[in-house]
Amino acid sequence: MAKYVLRRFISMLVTLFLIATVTFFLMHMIPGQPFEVTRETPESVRKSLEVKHGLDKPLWQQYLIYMNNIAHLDFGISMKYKGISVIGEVAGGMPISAIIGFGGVVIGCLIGSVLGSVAALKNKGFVDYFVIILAILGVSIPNFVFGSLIQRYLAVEWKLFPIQGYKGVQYFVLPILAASFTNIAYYARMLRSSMLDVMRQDYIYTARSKGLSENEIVRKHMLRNSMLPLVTSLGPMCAGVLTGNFVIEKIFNIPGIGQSMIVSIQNFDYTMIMGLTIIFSFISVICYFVVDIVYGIVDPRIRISK
Amino acid sequence: MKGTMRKWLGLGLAVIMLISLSGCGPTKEQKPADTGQPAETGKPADTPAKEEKPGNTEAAPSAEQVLKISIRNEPGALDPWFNNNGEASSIMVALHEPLLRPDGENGEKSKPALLEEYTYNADKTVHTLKLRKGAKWQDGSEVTAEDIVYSFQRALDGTLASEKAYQYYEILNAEAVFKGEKKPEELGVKQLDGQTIEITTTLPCDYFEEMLKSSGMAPVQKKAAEEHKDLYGSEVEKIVASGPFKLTEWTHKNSMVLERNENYWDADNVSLNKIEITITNDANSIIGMYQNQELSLMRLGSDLLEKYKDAKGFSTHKRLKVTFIEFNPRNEFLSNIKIREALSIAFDRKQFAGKIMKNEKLAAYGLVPYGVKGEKDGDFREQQGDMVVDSATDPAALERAKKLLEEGLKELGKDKAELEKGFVIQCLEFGKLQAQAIQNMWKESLGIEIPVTVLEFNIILPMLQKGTFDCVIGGGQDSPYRDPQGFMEFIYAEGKWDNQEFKQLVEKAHNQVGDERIASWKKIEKMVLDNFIYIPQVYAENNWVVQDNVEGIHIYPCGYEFDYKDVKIMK
Repeated sequence: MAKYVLRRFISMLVTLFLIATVTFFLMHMIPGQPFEVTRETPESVRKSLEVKHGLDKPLWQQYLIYMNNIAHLDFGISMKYKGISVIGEVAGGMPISAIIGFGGVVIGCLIGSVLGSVAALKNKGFVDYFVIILAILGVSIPNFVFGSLIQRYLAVEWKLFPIQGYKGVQYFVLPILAASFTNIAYYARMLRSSMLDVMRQDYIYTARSKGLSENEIVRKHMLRNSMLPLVTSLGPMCAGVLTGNFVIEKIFNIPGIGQSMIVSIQNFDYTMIMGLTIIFSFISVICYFVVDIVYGIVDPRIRISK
Repeated sequence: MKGTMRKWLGLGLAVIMLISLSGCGPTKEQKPADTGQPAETGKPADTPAKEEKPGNTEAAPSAEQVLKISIRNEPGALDPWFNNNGEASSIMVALHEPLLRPDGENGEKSKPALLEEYTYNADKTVHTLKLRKGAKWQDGSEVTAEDIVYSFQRALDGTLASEKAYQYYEILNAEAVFKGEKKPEELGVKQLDGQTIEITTTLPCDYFEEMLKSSGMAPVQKKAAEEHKDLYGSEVEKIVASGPFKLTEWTHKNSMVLERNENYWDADNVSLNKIEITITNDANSIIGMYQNQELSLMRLGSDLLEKYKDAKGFSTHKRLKVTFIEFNPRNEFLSNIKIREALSIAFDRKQFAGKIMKNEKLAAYGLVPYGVKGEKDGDFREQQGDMVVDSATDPAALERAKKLLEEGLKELGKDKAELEKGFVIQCLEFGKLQAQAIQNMWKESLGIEIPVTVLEFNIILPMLQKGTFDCVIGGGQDSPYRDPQGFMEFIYAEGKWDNQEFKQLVEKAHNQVGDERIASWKKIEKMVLDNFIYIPQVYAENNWVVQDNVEGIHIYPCGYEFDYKDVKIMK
């Protein structure tokens, strides 16, 4: 196991190195400039800005300096926003994104699992058709449409919640609702199909023939086994949660990490884009790594095969 | 048995779900505090739209006095000497008192602000500023002449690299100081006594008074600026200003709160208690907020114009700006004046203004908009008249255009197919419709189909500066001051157009003052337009809807758009 972890760790570092390198050169290949300047800005001013941010040096030197800095976990400061560092932005924005994101995943996962399993148990019943319709809607309605829709009715027309902003608990309700919508549909559909699949397995007949109560069959055999794909999907889902929900954060004006990413892309903010990309990929890589281990715990077959 | 079991399970899961849901509550409540956001922001009850009936006609001031506005992007910092963000410049002068404030309906005059008096010598090279006695910073300390001199020196400190340092290049030795070739003390800004500052400009500067009104010359406190260097203005505690309001809350990329500054020299005449600023560019949120009275005013793009143009509180404001089609004379095909003229003739300005900009009156016939100073203090544009003619609807003119195009191509030894591959129309995302309209006009009138490319501003900008673009549509020029020079100087400064006569004429104008100088710029405008490098498209206007209860808001066509100082909120 230790060897396996070590191997994974090294490949993680290589992945990160490649991502950092590719991002760096891609960023510098795109024409454009990162400063908020006007057309009349003369050469002397542009030059001094480049010197200040180290953009006057040859590209390979900039690359070495940058790699050296990120090896020391220094991702630099924003080229537009004075005094804002990449680390500071992540530290400030990620918890906010996490509230919205985890809120969406947890609520989505709970409601989705309940709906999904009820739908499977009552196959072809009312709940089942409801779940199928919900799943189609959830997958086909993009969350910026759903977000704008609930913003329009729940906030603007009926005034139940604030329209946008980040000033207290009630400001989180709509963004979390918007974030959970797709998740509800996703998990309901997933649990329904995986449960239907499990119900037809031989070991369920075995369990029945052993004389187990229906309650025990559902709880110990069906649910546990149908949760497996759910666990697999939770990993990437959590990575997505930490890296922010771009669209929802923009609609509801939540100062999370997704918002930072959008703004830095709009501004051509080199250091911000590169820093955030690398940190995001770091999170993804770690999440996949953790999921592999959790998977082993949930499914004994995988544990044994290693 | 089976059925009841299932029911039981469904019920049980639902109960679990409810329990876990209610469990979410408290954790969420705690989170905002954990993230280091200002704790007092969490007042749940008062935020959702207050139902104030705007219809009341009794003109009594409301007890609240809160103005609610939104801006699309957060400025890099709230530092007047570093800020290039147009929207934020109105906030700059709400926080930092400028040297002079605009006066008159369109802000063409000026009134004392931090200065009591501004005088200049006969050839307008020596400008004397008399500082107001008793003006204070928000921390209660006095505004001194030293603060003002330091503000200029700091803006021209090359190591701090202000994005707008060039805006002070009119001042003697400014560029040399910025480049580090001269010491800051050699800058043409000198303190004469405790109250008087003398600024020397390299060349005669007619429009210096306009510059004193700009947000970019609103002084900062020396002590605070020395302490925070270029981070001045990046956080609430890193600003010490002298304006009518002070910054009390700032959640980055989200919101700001400005409150009344009791130490302001003219605090008695400020009615507003608070300005709440939301930073968002989500159009639906903004419309919803305006509808629920959570915004005091809203900008209307051309998409919202139809819907709101008959609404209460609708107002249109001229903006001193001209947009144009710009040809790159270094492009193989566009270097030919006949081809440029043909393309210019085929551009139907009036139809463009009416269909795309939704206002036919905006069609521009010169590089300088209405409202700019002309000779004898008249209007430049009125005196100069239309410099280009609309002839795209005239069949004879179109025939001529076709012939010109043919001749031009013959001179180059090329054909139409090569021309179509020879250059592209470049525009920004919001200018896409404009570009397609012009693409279509050229196709219908001249039979050539030029491709359109949409680019980001930060990509187009270096192309314009380095001269690597082809044909940019919807670009424009606004000027920080009401002077023809501001609208045409950039052509000279960029030096892309190698025309000796033009260069000499501009240099001559630089050394002139008064009507002579304006006359030179009139000649320059004609010369530029006769060469069909810049084809004027439209003048600019901004449209707003303002809530009924807002009074005394000044909206200016030049420099910063809003002055919030005199705003009153009525019941």
